[in-house]
Amino acid sequence: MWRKTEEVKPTSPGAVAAEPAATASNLNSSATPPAAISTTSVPAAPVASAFASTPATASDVAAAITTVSTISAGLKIRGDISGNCHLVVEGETHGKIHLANGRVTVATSGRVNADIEAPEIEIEGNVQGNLHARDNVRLGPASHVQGSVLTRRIRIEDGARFRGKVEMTRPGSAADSSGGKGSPVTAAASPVNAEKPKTAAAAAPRS
Amino acid sequence: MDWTAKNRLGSTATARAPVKPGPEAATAASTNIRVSNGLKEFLWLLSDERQGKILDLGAVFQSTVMFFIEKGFRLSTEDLLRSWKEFLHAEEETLRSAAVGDENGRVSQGMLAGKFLDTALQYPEDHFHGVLAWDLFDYLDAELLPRVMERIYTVMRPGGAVLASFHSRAPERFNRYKVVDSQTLELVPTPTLAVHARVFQNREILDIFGKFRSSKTFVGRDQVREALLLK
Repeated sequence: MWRKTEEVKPTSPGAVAAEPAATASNLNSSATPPAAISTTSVPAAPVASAFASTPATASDVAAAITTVSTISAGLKIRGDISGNCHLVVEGETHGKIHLANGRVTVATSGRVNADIEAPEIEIEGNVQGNLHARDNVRLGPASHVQGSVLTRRIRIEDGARFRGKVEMTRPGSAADSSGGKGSPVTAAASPVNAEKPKTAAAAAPRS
Repeated sequence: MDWTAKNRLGSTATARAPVKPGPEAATAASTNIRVSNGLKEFLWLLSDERQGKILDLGAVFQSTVMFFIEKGFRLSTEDLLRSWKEFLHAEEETLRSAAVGDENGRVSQGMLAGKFLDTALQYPEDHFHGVLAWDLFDYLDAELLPRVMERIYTVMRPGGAVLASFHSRAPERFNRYKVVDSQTLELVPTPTLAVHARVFQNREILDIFGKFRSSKTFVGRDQVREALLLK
Protein backbone atom coordinates (compact mmCIF):
# COMPACT_ATOMS: atom_id res chain seq x y z
CA MET A 1 0.00 0.00 0.00
CA TRP A 2 1.30 3.42 -0.81
CA ARG A 3 1.91 5.18 2.42
CA LYS A 4 2.98 8.41 0.92
CA THR A 5 0.37 11.10 0.94
CA GLU A 6 2.42 14.05 -0.14
CA GLU A 7 5.42 14.22 -2.32
CA VAL A 8 8.63 15.67 -0.96
CA LYS A 9 10.43 17.69 -3.53
CA PRO A 10 13.91 16.30 -3.99
CA THR A 11 16.68 18.75 -3.43
CA SER A 12 19.79 16.93 -4.47
CA PRO A 13 20.61 16.32 -8.08
CA GLY A 14 19.68 12.86 -9.08
CA ALA A 15 17.34 12.49 -6.21
CA VAL A 16 13.81 11.55 -6.94
CA ALA A 17 10.44 12.26 -5.47
CA ALA A 18 10.88 10.88 -2.04
CA GLU A 19 8.82 8.60 0.01
CA PRO A 20 9.03 8.83 3.80
CA ALA A 21 12.63 8.95 4.82
CA ALA A 22 14.39 5.69 5.45
CA THR A 23 16.46 5.24 8.53
CA ALA A 24 20.16 4.99 8.09
CA SER A 25 20.13 1.58 9.70
CA ASN A 26 18.25 0.25 6.72
CA LEU A 27 21.13 0.99 4.48
CA ASN A 28 24.14 -1.12 3.97
CA SER A 29 27.26 0.92 4.21
CA SER A 30 29.28 -1.22 1.85
CA ALA A 31 28.99 0.20 -1.59
CA THR A 32 28.30 -1.88 -4.63
CA PRO A 33 30.31 -1.00 -7.71
CA PRO A 34 28.41 1.31 -9.98
CA ALA A 35 26.91 0.07 -13.17
CA ALA A 36 29.27 -0.35 -16.05
CA ILE A 37 28.02 2.64 -17.91
CA SER A 38 29.03 6.23 -18.01
CA THR A 39 27.22 7.38 -14.97
CA THR A 40 27.80 9.62 -12.06
CA SER A 41 27.81 8.04 -8.68
CA VAL A 42 25.81 9.85 -6.05
CA PRO A 43 26.86 9.67 -2.39
CA ALA A 44 24.80 7.25 -0.41
CA ALA A 45 23.85 9.52 2.45
CA PRO A 46 21.54 11.93 0.64
CA VAL A 47 20.06 9.08 -1.25
CA ALA A 48 18.99 7.37 1.92
CA SER A 49 16.11 9.74 2.31
CA ALA A 50 15.28 9.71 -1.34
CA PHE A 51 14.89 5.98 -1.66
CA ALA A 52 12.80 5.00 1.25
CA SER A 53 11.44 1.51 1.18
CA THR A 54 8.08 0.04 1.87
CA PRO A 55 8.08 -2.64 4.53
CA ALA A 56 8.55 -6.33 3.99
CA THR A 57 8.68 -6.29 0.22
CA ALA A 58 11.27 -6.40 -2.46
CA SER A 59 12.00 -2.91 -1.28
CA ASP A 60 13.89 -4.42 1.62
CA VAL A 61 16.46 -5.52 -0.86
CA ALA A 62 16.33 -2.22 -2.61
CA ALA A 63 16.84 -0.40 0.64
CA ALA A 64 20.07 -2.26 1.22
CA ILE A 65 21.47 -0.88 -1.97
CA THR A 66 23.51 2.21 -1.39
CA THR A 67 24.82 2.88 -4.82
CA VAL A 68 23.00 5.21 -7.10
CA SER A 69 24.12 5.63 -10.64
CA THR A 70 22.99 8.66 -12.51
CA ILE A 71 22.80 9.22 -16.21
CA SER A 72 23.12 12.95 -16.12
CA ALA A 73 21.27 15.44 -18.25
CA GLY A 74 22.93 15.89 -21.59
CA LEU A 75 24.19 12.33 -21.68
CA LYS A 76 22.75 9.95 -24.22
CA ILE A 77 23.29 6.20 -23.99
CA ARG A 78 22.48 3.58 -26.57
CA GLY A 79 22.39 -0.03 -25.45
CA ASP A 80 21.00 -2.14 -22.68
CA ILE A 81 21.64 -1.26 -19.08
CA SER A 82 21.63 -3.81 -16.29
CA GLY A 83 22.90 -3.92 -12.76
CA ASN A 84 22.17 -4.15 -9.09
CA CYS A 85 21.87 -0.59 -7.95
CA HIS A 86 19.56 2.35 -8.08
CA LEU A 87 19.51 4.21 -11.34
CA VAL A 88 18.48 7.77 -11.99
CA VAL A 89 18.02 8.81 -15.60
CA GLU A 90 18.31 12.53 -16.12
CA GLY A 91 19.61 12.17 -19.65
CA GLU A 92 18.49 9.97 -22.48
CA THR A 93 18.74 6.24 -22.95
CA HIS A 94 17.90 4.02 -25.89
CA GLY A 95 18.07 0.46 -24.67
CA LYS A 96 16.40 -1.80 -22.20
CA ILE A 97 16.99 -1.10 -18.53
CA HIS A 98 17.00 -4.12 -16.28
CA LEU A 99 17.80 -3.92 -12.60
CA ALA A 100 17.50 -7.08 -10.55
CA ASN A 101 17.29 -4.99 -7.43
CA GLY A 102 16.97 -1.31 -6.93
CA ARG A 103 14.90 1.45 -8.29
CA VAL A 104 14.82 3.11 -11.67
CA THR A 105 13.93 6.77 -11.59
CA VAL A 106 13.39 8.74 -14.74
CA ALA A 107 13.76 12.35 -13.70
CA THR A 108 11.84 15.23 -15.20
CA SER A 109 14.56 15.83 -17.75
CA GLY A 110 15.00 12.13 -18.42
CA ARG A 111 13.92 10.28 -21.50
CA VAL A 112 13.91 6.53 -21.96
CA ASN A 113 13.07 4.90 -25.26
CA ALA A 114 12.95 1.28 -24.21
CA ASP A 115 11.45 -1.10 -21.70
CA ILE A 116 12.27 -0.76 -18.02
CA GLU A 117 12.31 -3.72 -15.68
CA ALA A 118 13.08 -3.26 -12.00
CA PRO A 119 11.49 -3.84 -8.61
CA GLU A 120 10.55 -0.20 -8.32
CA ILE A 121 10.06 2.33 -11.08
CA GLU A 122 9.39 6.02 -10.70
CA ILE A 123 8.68 8.16 -13.72
CA GLU A 124 8.80 11.93 -13.72
CA GLY A 125 10.01 12.32 -17.28
CA ASN A 126 9.31 10.73 -20.61
CA VAL A 127 9.25 7.01 -21.33
CA GLN A 128 8.36 5.22 -24.53
CA GLY A 129 8.42 1.60 -23.54
CA ASN A 130 6.88 -0.91 -21.22
CA LEU A 131 7.29 -0.72 -17.47
CA HIS A 132 7.57 -3.97 -15.55
CA ALA A 133 8.01 -3.58 -11.84
CA ARG A 134 8.01 -6.43 -9.37
CA ASP A 135 6.91 -4.12 -6.60
CA ASN A 136 5.51 -0.79 -7.66
CA VAL A 137 5.30 1.88 -10.30
CA ARG A 138 4.76 5.55 -9.71
CA LEU A 139 3.86 7.97 -12.48
CA GLY A 140 4.57 11.50 -11.33
CA PRO A 141 2.55 14.56 -12.27
CA ALA A 142 4.91 15.53 -15.05
CA SER A 143 5.41 12.03 -16.38
CA HIS A 144 4.62 11.01 -19.92
CA VAL A 145 4.54 7.30 -20.57
CA GLN A 146 3.65 5.38 -23.71
CA GLY A 147 3.61 1.67 -23.11
CA SER A 148 2.16 -1.00 -20.90
CA VAL A 149 2.55 -1.10 -17.16
CA LEU A 150 2.80 -4.43 -15.40
CA THR A 151 3.20 -4.25 -11.66
CA ARG A 152 1.74 -5.18 -8.31
CA ARG A 153 0.98 -1.64 -7.26
CA ILE A 154 0.66 1.55 -9.16
CA ARG A 155 0.43 5.16 -8.17
CA ILE A 156 -0.67 7.70 -10.74
CA GLU A 157 -0.43 11.34 -9.80
CA ASP A 158 -2.86 13.81 -11.28
CA GLY A 159 -1.32 15.35 -14.34
CA ALA A 160 0.45 12.21 -15.41
CA ARG A 161 0.09 11.36 -19.04
CA PHE A 162 -0.21 7.75 -19.93
CA ARG A 163 -1.02 5.93 -23.10
CA GLY A 164 -1.13 2.20 -22.79
CA LYS A 165 -2.40 -0.67 -20.75
CA VAL A 166 -2.25 -1.25 -17.01
CA GLU A 167 -2.07 -4.77 -15.71
CA MET A 168 -1.62 -5.84 -12.16
CA THR A 169 0.30 -8.90 -11.06
CA ARG A 170 -0.12 -10.92 -7.92
CA PRO A 171 2.70 -12.20 -5.74
CA GLY A 172 4.19 -15.44 -6.87
CA SER A 173 2.86 -15.31 -10.37
CA ALA A 174 5.20 -15.94 -13.25
CA ALA A 175 4.96 -12.36 -14.37
CA ASP A 176 5.73 -11.21 -10.85
CA SER A 177 9.22 -12.65 -10.91
CA SER A 178 12.08 -10.40 -11.83
CA GLY A 179 12.46 -12.24 -15.06
CA GLY A 180 8.90 -11.53 -15.98
CA LYS A 181 8.76 -14.27 -18.57
CA GLY A 182 5.31 -15.46 -17.74
CA SER A 183 2.07 -14.04 -18.85
CA PRO A 184 0.58 -11.40 -16.61
CA VAL A 185 -2.11 -12.22 -14.17
CA THR A 186 -4.49 -9.36 -13.94
CA ALA A 187 -6.05 -8.15 -10.79
CA ALA A 188 -9.29 -9.68 -11.92
CA ALA A 189 -8.47 -12.86 -10.13
CA SER A 190 -7.05 -11.16 -7.10
CA PRO A 191 -8.39 -7.70 -6.53
CA VAL A 192 -6.81 -7.56 -3.10
CA ASN A 193 -3.46 -7.10 -4.74
CA ALA A 194 -4.50 -3.83 -6.16
CA GLU A 195 -4.11 -0.81 -4.02
CA LYS A 196 -7.51 0.04 -2.70
CA PRO A 197 -8.37 3.55 -3.74
CA LYS A 198 -9.95 5.89 -1.32
CA THR A 199 -12.83 6.44 -3.64
CA ALA A 200 -13.71 3.07 -5.04
CA ALA A 201 -16.51 1.94 -2.81
CA ALA A 202 -18.96 0.72 -5.35
CA ALA A 203 -20.30 -2.75 -5.41
CA ALA A 204 -19.22 -5.08 -8.14
CA PRO A 205 -21.32 -5.24 -11.27
CA ARG A 206 -24.12 -7.69 -11.25
CA SER A 207 -23.27 -11.04 -12.68
CA MET B 1 -24.77 -8.15 -25.51
CA ASP B 2 -28.02 -6.26 -25.45
CA TRP B 3 -29.86 -4.52 -22.67
CA THR B 4 -33.11 -5.78 -24.06
CA ALA B 5 -31.85 -9.33 -23.86
CA LYS B 6 -30.13 -9.24 -20.49
CA ASN B 7 -32.03 -10.48 -17.50
CA ARG B 8 -32.64 -7.52 -15.27
CA LEU B 9 -34.54 -9.26 -12.51
CA GLY B 10 -33.47 -7.85 -9.23
CA SER B 11 -31.84 -4.89 -10.80
CA THR B 12 -32.81 -1.45 -9.64
CA ALA B 13 -30.68 0.23 -12.24
CA THR B 14 -32.79 1.63 -15.00
CA ALA B 15 -32.29 4.56 -17.21
CA ARG B 16 -34.98 6.47 -15.42
CA ALA B 17 -34.19 5.33 -11.91
CA PRO B 18 -34.05 8.06 -9.28
CA VAL B 19 -30.63 9.54 -9.05
CA LYS B 20 -28.76 8.25 -6.03
CA PRO B 21 -25.12 9.21 -6.01
CA GLY B 22 -22.73 6.67 -4.60
CA PRO B 23 -21.60 6.83 -1.00
CA GLU B 24 -18.34 8.49 -1.83
CA ALA B 25 -20.11 11.20 -3.68
CA ALA B 26 -21.78 12.47 -0.56
CA THR B 27 -18.48 13.52 0.89
CA ALA B 28 -17.20 15.27 -2.17
CA ALA B 29 -17.92 18.75 -3.34
CA SER B 30 -21.23 18.59 -5.12
CA THR B 31 -20.24 21.05 -7.80
CA ASN B 32 -17.54 18.71 -9.05
CA ILE B 33 -19.57 15.56 -8.78
CA ARG B 34 -21.73 14.21 -11.52
CA VAL B 35 -24.13 11.32 -11.31
CA SER B 36 -23.66 9.05 -14.28
CA ASN B 37 -26.48 6.67 -14.99
CA GLY B 38 -24.72 5.95 -18.21
CA LEU B 39 -21.72 4.56 -16.36
CA LYS B 40 -23.96 2.41 -14.21
CA GLU B 41 -25.59 0.97 -17.30
CA PHE B 42 -22.23 0.60 -19.02
CA LEU B 43 -20.91 -1.46 -16.11
CA TRP B 44 -24.04 -3.54 -16.07
CA LEU B 45 -23.67 -4.29 -19.76
CA LEU B 46 -20.08 -5.42 -19.27
CA SER B 47 -20.71 -7.33 -16.08
CA ASP B 48 -20.79 -10.65 -17.91
CA GLU B 49 -17.36 -10.10 -19.40
CA ARG B 50 -14.55 -11.76 -17.50
CA GLN B 51 -11.49 -9.55 -17.67
CA GLY B 52 -13.19 -7.31 -20.14
CA LYS B 53 -10.99 -4.84 -21.95
CA ILE B 54 -11.87 -1.19 -21.62
CA LEU B 55 -10.40 1.77 -23.47
CA ASP B 56 -10.58 5.13 -21.70
CA LEU B 57 -10.10 7.95 -24.18
CA GLY B 58 -9.59 10.60 -21.53
CA ALA B 59 -6.85 11.56 -19.13
CA VAL B 60 -5.49 8.91 -16.81
CA PHE B 61 -6.41 9.07 -13.14
CA GLN B 62 -5.50 6.77 -10.31
CA SER B 63 -9.07 6.38 -9.13
CA THR B 64 -10.34 5.45 -12.58
CA VAL B 65 -7.60 2.92 -13.18
CA MET B 66 -8.05 1.26 -9.82
CA PHE B 67 -11.83 1.29 -10.09
CA PHE B 68 -11.81 -0.75 -13.26
CA ILE B 69 -8.94 -3.00 -12.25
CA GLU B 70 -10.59 -3.86 -8.98
CA LYS B 71 -13.69 -4.80 -10.91
CA GLY B 72 -11.61 -7.19 -12.95
CA PHE B 73 -11.31 -5.20 -16.14
CA ARG B 74 -8.20 -4.55 -18.14
CA LEU B 75 -7.89 -0.87 -18.77
CA SER B 76 -6.09 0.91 -21.55
CA THR B 77 -5.84 4.67 -21.62
CA GLU B 78 -5.29 7.04 -24.49
CA ASP B 79 -5.90 10.76 -24.09
CA LEU B 80 -7.10 11.22 -27.63
CA LEU B 81 -8.02 14.90 -27.45
CA ARG B 82 -4.67 15.90 -26.01
CA SER B 83 -2.86 13.77 -28.55
CA TRP B 84 -4.79 15.42 -31.36
CA LYS B 85 -4.04 18.91 -30.15
CA GLU B 86 -0.38 18.11 -29.73
CA PHE B 87 -0.30 16.61 -33.15
CA LEU B 88 -1.82 19.76 -34.65
CA HIS B 89 0.66 21.89 -32.74
CA ALA B 90 3.55 19.85 -34.06
CA GLU B 91 2.22 20.14 -37.59
CA GLU B 92 1.92 23.89 -37.23
CA GLU B 93 5.48 24.10 -36.03
CA THR B 94 6.57 22.11 -39.03
CA LEU B 95 4.77 24.48 -41.34
CA ARG B 96 6.25 27.50 -39.63
CA SER B 97 9.73 26.15 -40.02
CA ALA B 98 9.16 25.40 -43.68
CA ALA B 99 10.72 27.78 -46.13
CA VAL B 100 8.56 30.64 -47.33
CA GLY B 101 6.82 29.62 -50.53
CA ASP B 102 7.25 25.96 -49.83
CA GLU B 103 3.76 24.57 -50.32
CA ASN B 104 4.74 20.94 -50.11
CA GLY B 105 4.09 20.74 -46.41
CA ARG B 106 0.56 22.08 -46.62
CA VAL B 107 -2.10 19.48 -46.14
CA SER B 108 -5.85 19.52 -45.81
CA GLN B 109 -7.70 18.90 -42.56
CA GLY B 110 -8.71 15.53 -43.88
CA MET B 111 -5.13 14.58 -44.56
CA LEU B 112 -4.15 15.75 -41.11
CA ALA B 113 -6.84 13.57 -39.59
CA GLY B 114 -5.61 10.61 -41.57
CA LYS B 115 -2.03 11.24 -40.60
CA PHE B 116 -2.98 11.52 -36.96
CA LEU B 117 -4.77 8.21 -37.01
CA ASP B 118 -1.68 6.57 -38.44
CA THR B 119 -0.35 6.65 -34.90
CA ALA B 120 -3.44 7.07 -32.73
CA LEU B 121 -5.98 4.45 -31.72
CA GLN B 122 -3.72 1.67 -32.87
CA TYR B 123 -5.32 -1.45 -31.46
CA PRO B 124 -6.28 -4.84 -32.85
CA GLU B 125 -9.68 -5.26 -34.37
CA ASP B 126 -12.50 -6.51 -32.15
CA HIS B 127 -10.35 -5.90 -29.10
CA PHE B 128 -12.29 -3.82 -26.58
CA HIS B 129 -15.47 -4.64 -24.75
CA GLY B 130 -16.03 -1.04 -23.77
CA VAL B 131 -14.92 2.46 -24.67
CA LEU B 132 -15.26 5.55 -22.47
CA ALA B 133 -15.36 8.95 -24.14
CA TRP B 134 -16.40 11.77 -21.86
CA ASP B 135 -16.04 15.23 -23.38
CA LEU B 136 -14.40 14.05 -26.51
CA PHE B 137 -16.56 13.79 -29.60
CA ASP B 138 -18.04 17.28 -29.44
CA TYR B 139 -14.51 18.68 -29.16
CA LEU B 140 -13.11 16.95 -32.22
CA ASP B 141 -12.75 18.59 -35.60
CA ALA B 142 -15.38 17.75 -38.18
CA GLU B 143 -12.84 16.03 -40.41
CA LEU B 144 -11.49 13.87 -37.61
CA LEU B 145 -14.71 12.82 -35.91
CA PRO B 146 -16.04 10.33 -38.50
CA ARG B 147 -12.61 8.74 -38.85
CA VAL B 148 -12.33 8.34 -35.11
CA MET B 149 -15.78 6.81 -34.96
CA GLU B 150 -14.83 4.39 -37.69
CA ARG B 151 -11.67 3.40 -35.85
CA ILE B 152 -13.48 2.97 -32.55
CA TYR B 153 -16.03 0.78 -34.23
CA THR B 154 -13.25 -1.34 -35.66
CA VAL B 155 -11.38 -1.91 -32.40
CA MET B 156 -14.53 -2.82 -30.50
CA ARG B 157 -15.78 -6.33 -30.14
CA PRO B 158 -19.27 -7.14 -31.39
CA GLY B 159 -21.60 -6.42 -28.53
CA GLY B 160 -19.19 -3.94 -27.02
CA ALA B 161 -20.43 -0.66 -25.59
CA VAL B 162 -19.37 2.96 -26.00
CA LEU B 163 -20.22 5.48 -23.32
CA ALA B 164 -19.89 9.05 -24.55
CA SER B 165 -21.04 12.41 -23.27
CA PHE B 166 -22.36 15.35 -25.24
CA HIS B 167 -23.09 18.85 -24.05
CA SER B 168 -26.49 20.39 -24.70
CA ARG B 169 -24.95 23.84 -24.69
CA ALA B 170 -21.43 25.13 -24.85
CA PRO B 171 -19.79 24.26 -21.54
CA GLU B 172 -18.46 27.00 -19.30
CA ARG B 173 -15.22 25.19 -18.65
CA PHE B 174 -13.27 22.21 -19.76
CA ASN B 175 -13.29 19.21 -17.47
CA ARG B 176 -11.67 15.85 -17.27
CA TYR B 177 -13.48 12.98 -15.57
CA LYS B 178 -12.51 10.68 -12.74
CA VAL B 179 -14.57 7.65 -11.88
CA VAL B 180 -15.50 7.84 -8.21
CA ASP B 181 -17.82 4.87 -8.02
CA SER B 182 -20.12 2.94 -10.29
CA GLN B 183 -22.43 5.85 -10.93
CA THR B 184 -20.47 8.88 -9.84
CA LEU B 185 -17.90 10.93 -11.68
CA GLU B 186 -15.70 13.69 -10.38
CA LEU B 187 -15.22 16.59 -12.75
CA VAL B 188 -11.69 17.90 -12.71
CA PRO B 189 -11.51 21.46 -14.03
CA THR B 190 -8.65 21.64 -16.46
CA PRO B 191 -7.10 24.45 -18.48
CA THR B 192 -8.94 24.47 -21.74
CA LEU B 193 -7.42 21.83 -23.91
CA ALA B 194 -9.75 22.34 -26.82
CA VAL B 195 -12.60 24.58 -27.81
CA HIS B 196 -16.02 23.00 -27.75
CA ALA B 197 -16.61 22.42 -31.42
CA ARG B 198 -20.36 22.10 -31.62
CA VAL B 199 -23.58 21.02 -29.92
CA PHE B 200 -24.97 17.86 -31.41
CA GLN B 201 -28.67 17.26 -31.69
CA ASN B 202 -29.86 13.83 -30.67
CA ARG B 203 -30.37 12.83 -34.28
CA GLU B 204 -26.83 13.88 -35.10
CA ILE B 205 -25.48 11.81 -32.26
CA LEU B 206 -27.24 8.78 -33.67
CA ASP B 207 -25.85 9.62 -37.09
CA ILE B 208 -22.23 9.71 -36.00
CA PHE B 209 -22.76 6.36 -34.33
CA GLY B 210 -24.54 5.15 -37.41
CA LYS B 211 -22.82 1.77 -37.51
CA PHE B 212 -23.78 0.92 -33.97
CA ARG B 213 -26.88 -1.15 -33.61
CA SER B 214 -28.46 0.13 -30.44
CA SER B 215 -28.39 3.27 -28.37
CA LYS B 216 -29.64 4.73 -25.15
CA THR B 217 -29.41 8.30 -23.93
CA PHE B 218 -29.31 9.64 -20.40
CA VAL B 219 -29.76 13.31 -19.62
CA GLY B 220 -28.23 14.63 -16.44
CA ARG B 221 -29.36 17.53 -14.32
CA ASP B 222 -26.56 19.53 -15.87
CA GLN B 223 -28.11 18.84 -19.29
CA VAL B 224 -25.13 16.78 -20.33
CA ARG B 225 -26.29 13.84 -22.37
CA GLU B 226 -24.69 10.47 -22.01
CA ALA B 227 -25.03 8.18 -24.98
CA LEU B 228 -24.55 4.47 -24.59
CA LEU B 229 -24.21 2.58 -27.82
CA LEU B 230 -23.72 -1.05 -28.66
CA LYS B 231 -21.78 -2.45 -31.54
